[in-house]
Amino acid sequence: MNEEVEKKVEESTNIRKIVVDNLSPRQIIELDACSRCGECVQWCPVYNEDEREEVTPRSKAKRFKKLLSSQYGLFRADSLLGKLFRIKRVTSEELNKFVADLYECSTCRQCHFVCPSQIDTVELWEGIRRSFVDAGYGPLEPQKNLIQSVKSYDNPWGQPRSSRTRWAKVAKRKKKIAGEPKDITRKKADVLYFVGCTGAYDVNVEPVAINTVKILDAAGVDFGTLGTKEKCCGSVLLRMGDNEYDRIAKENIKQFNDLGFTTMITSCAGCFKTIKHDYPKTGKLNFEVKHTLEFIIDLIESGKLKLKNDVKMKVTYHDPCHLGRHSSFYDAPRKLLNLIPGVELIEMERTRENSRCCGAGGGLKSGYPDIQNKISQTRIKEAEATGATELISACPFCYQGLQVGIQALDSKLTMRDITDLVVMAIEDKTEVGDV
Amino acid sequence: MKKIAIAILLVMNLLLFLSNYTSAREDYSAIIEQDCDLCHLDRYYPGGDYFEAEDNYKWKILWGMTVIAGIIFLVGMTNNILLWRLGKSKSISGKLKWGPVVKALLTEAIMGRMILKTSFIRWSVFLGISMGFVFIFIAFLAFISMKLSIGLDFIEPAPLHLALDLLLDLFGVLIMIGTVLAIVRRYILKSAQMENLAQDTAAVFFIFLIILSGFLLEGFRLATLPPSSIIKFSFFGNIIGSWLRPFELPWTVYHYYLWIFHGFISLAFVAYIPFGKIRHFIACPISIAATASDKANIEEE
Repeated sequence: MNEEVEKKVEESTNIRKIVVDNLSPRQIIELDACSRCGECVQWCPVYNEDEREEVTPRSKAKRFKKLLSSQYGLFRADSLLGKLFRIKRVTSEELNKFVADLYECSTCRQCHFVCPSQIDTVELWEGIRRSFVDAGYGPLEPQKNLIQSVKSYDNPWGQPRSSRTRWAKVAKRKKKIAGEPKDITRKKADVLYFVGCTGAYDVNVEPVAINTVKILDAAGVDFGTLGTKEKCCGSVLLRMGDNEYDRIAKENIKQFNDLGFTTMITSCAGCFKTIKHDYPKTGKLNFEVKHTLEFIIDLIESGKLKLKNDVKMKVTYHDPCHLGRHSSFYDAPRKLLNLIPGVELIEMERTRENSRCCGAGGGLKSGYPDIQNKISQTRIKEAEATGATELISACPFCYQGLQVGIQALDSKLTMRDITDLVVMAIEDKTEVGDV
Repeated sequence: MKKIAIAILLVMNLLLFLSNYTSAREDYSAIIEQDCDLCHLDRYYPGGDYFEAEDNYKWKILWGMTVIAGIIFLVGMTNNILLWRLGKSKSISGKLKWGPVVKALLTEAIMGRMILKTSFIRWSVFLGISMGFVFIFIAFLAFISMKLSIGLDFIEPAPLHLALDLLLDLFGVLIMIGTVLAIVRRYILKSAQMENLAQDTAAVFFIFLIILSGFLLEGFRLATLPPSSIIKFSFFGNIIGSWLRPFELPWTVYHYYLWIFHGFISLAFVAYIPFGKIRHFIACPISIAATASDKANIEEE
């Protein structure tokens, strides 16, 4: 009996070594920079819905440092000093619990913005996630499907590659757009419109792509898409710590650079952040990356796009985390909304750097759908409190995430992408869908 | 900087001139051993001899403790550095941007701008404790470097000594205020976001004991001196001294033992730095500096 118990204990303490080569010395120092002041606790959208200390950034920093200390350094559990001071090994139960808590995070980056030590939390979580994935402890089971889908189909939604341009074909057939965008791999263009997986595959969100094409056509922009050759930007893999991201990023960078366009635009905040800020860490880009709304502002200001219709709407704007906190992109969306005639923007209580996350990012929606639902509902209630009738965002992923809350609350708010309002302002007859 | 130093010295000299610095002196014999024995009664000291206790015990104990604390500190820091060096990626993106780094260190790491935005009481704790220690360290560094570079002794010339007294009291009071507020915030107000671990309590406890024993030490010393203007430069210690003075107790003896305790607790604190939450005193500025540099690089892009 005793032997059995001992064997069990040995198994539970016999965990694999977590290799942290992918982290930087600074990131490991940042584990010590956490003074556990709890500022992040007050602002964390996940903690707001699941009030467990274990999900807080400070707890994650503390527990990961404990894990590292038990495996490395002078006081590691199997060293002389470790044995002298009775440093315990981290058990597999503790480790698995930590991994589960690590993935209970939308990587919204709110904690970084309120952290007096300015710890780059999201980069740290993503790096730690990668270490756990490499060691075979992550990601969570429900998240593995998304990752497997990206590896198998180049998109996280389990759809075949051939369906990537279905939205354009249907839109053309329904006469929502004049024609399918040209395939930039066959015919050169100045601008590449990177549609993104959510905009291309999710029928509820595809009007974002349709609107973008309409706007670019109306302004006479020479643009094209990658058609069925477009691959996931890899954001999903990067956020969840899968090293397959490196391969995807390298392949995409090569493909983009070889095409010779000058500007890439994308409507997805996640793709934007990944390509603009994360890709340069993997390889050099020979083009400029812009979010669609930034590009639209340029078109309006250069007189190429005329906003002729009054769009009489009371709107409130949701800052997508990847556009706002990750890319410091706060003024442009507001500027665009103010440029659209008739639009009245009413800000929510939490905006810009402190905008409340929709909960969809970082694998939270797939790993913890209940928590995401609650986070989304909290954001929707905040939007409702403004008295606006439309909730605007500039990210298909936020669009999906916020729709969850709208449906759960049976809210009267209409979820719209910012391009929707632009189309209303430029078209004689609005034919946009529900977006 | 030089002009400021000269101005401070001039002001200190003026204050001395206006004070009763010289007239307050007692008629000592000017024979060191005799004068010392007036207060330091031999029987209370180890070995039954004050001077022997000073030379053979006090400093030896201090150096012994320093060596032990130093070794523990070095072992702890080595362990931390070994862990930090596990990371192999680049710590900052692009080149280090010195301008934004210095600005961030001044506004965030030193002045705690972000902490002030969130809570005044927390900011007071931060500023009191961290800046108190930082300034005491800087003051010591300045005086020691003056001694080493131009041979100016900060014990003998009265103005410098008094300046040091004043600065140490000022920053000591800062630390005291910060520590008391930290205790109030942590254990009385019990802020909802606060997490009280043993190492948090240990950190507050250490700082409180260091500063309390420091001021008591000064009080014991000043309690044996006649009231004068010069001891007013140690404004806080003088208050404690004036409370203790009426009691006919061997304060110099207490001073001797408390000095050893103060040295012990201070060195224990130093030894504890690599092992507890005090590590963030070192790690925070690094994080703040790296973030500032990264942000500047992104903005430049």
